[in-house]
Amino acid sequence: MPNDQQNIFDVQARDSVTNSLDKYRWLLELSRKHNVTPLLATLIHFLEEIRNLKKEKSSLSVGLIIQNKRTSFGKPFINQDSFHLSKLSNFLKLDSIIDGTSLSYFVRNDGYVEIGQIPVSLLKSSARETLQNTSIDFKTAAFSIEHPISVIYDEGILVRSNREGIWLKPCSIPLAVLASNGFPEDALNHTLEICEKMSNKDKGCTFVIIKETQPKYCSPMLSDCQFTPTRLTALKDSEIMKLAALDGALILDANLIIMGIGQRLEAPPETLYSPESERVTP
Amino acid sequence: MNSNNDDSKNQLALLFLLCRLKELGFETQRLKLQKLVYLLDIFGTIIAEKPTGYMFTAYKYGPFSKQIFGYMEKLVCIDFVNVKEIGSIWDPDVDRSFDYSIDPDRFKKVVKMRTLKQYDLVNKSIEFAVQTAGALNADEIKSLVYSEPNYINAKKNPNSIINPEYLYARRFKDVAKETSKREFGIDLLNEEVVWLYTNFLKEIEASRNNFSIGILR
Repeated sequence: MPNDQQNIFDVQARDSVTNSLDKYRWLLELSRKHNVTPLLATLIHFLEEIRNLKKEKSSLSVGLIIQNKRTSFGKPFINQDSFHLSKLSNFLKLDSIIDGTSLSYFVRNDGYVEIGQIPVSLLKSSARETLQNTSIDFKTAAFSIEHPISVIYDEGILVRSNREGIWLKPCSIPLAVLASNGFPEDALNHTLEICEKMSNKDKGCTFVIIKETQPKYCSPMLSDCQFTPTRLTALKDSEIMKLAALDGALILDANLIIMGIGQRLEAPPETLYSPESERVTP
Repeated sequence: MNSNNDDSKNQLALLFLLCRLKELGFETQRLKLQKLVYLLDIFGTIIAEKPTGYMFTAYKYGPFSKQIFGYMEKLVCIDFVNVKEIGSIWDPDVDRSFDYSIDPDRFKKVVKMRTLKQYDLVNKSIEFAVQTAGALNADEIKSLVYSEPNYINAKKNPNSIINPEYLYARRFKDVAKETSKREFGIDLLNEEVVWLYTNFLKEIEASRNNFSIGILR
């Protein structure tokens, strides 16, 4: 190959390799670990296209587990002929029944997919938690395809999530740093869990955790609503989420007592805040 | 001219490929088969060595091997392979499509032979070829192969033999491994390079109207 042609080819090849690894290095490593490297292209096709499959305009929910020597599953209460992973239309046949709630698709390293009953001992309250738990017990990878967020677990660890076609790395928030500033870590963890659940349901929320005993510099807009300070843990998560979804910030103290909903910010007095220096005197 | 051993090796590779396609439930049409063997050779070159000795010509509709065509016809004649024409209406503007399958009795013998250790490498290449392109229909696989640099290079001289050294695939492997190590700290397996090469072909396919791989200049 003449040198000038080789240089151009090398640049193109290098760019292509970089693009592919930038996007799917994590899946390459996952495939290598679980001995499904020949399926890499098929897995990518599955992950990218499955969310576009719709049955009567509803998005599909699918659970998929990579089979290995440790996986075991029972005869499912509903079944279909096994098929190759590349044949995506087969996932539509049973709609969202095989989503990991108790049934999941299991894929072999030759790409063949069959339906199996997840062992009862591994079942959790949600399909996602069941798939995560299953990936721990079987030491394998599990894919939970849901709308709007799909997640991939490797032996229980969240590897990636996908929201509307965008791959997201798991993020870690340095709660320990905040905790060292006087905010109890369990309070931070609990609110973060609620935030994650809200996000999974496509809802926004704002939590404000204060060290003081009373909220300052904010007031509710709904003046005819009364609020009794209540421990966050006394409410069910579904109630907290509905509360958090109200217009405003849910204010908690360091003991996780809900103090109110702040809807209108007020400027702190000038003795504390200097607009010129943009600094607050503690 | 190939020796008898080479002929046997080539023919067995073809039979193993047909077996694997059947096992995974993929269609085996005449045009698709030609392209799959070509990809098999490319992937095998990347993985370790070219699994077959088939020579491909750069025709307008993609790489084509007369040897494969001739051998398939022979297998059909001796009832080793069954052939069924797909579609009931003959359209003169459309390439007639035939589905090939190995006779069931002979299928078992081929499967048994396939397990011999000496065929591990060819089986590995077949696995990658089938998993990557087995599900594609004839048009899709044709489109993918049109983007293959060794074919693109040979097509500059229509009806010429595609260089069986597959220099561009080899070069890509070197570049991929070097790039992966330097920028990502990953020691790529040869099998993983196959995946990257397939992505490369898809990128070329997507930008073909604007694409100049350097070999066309």
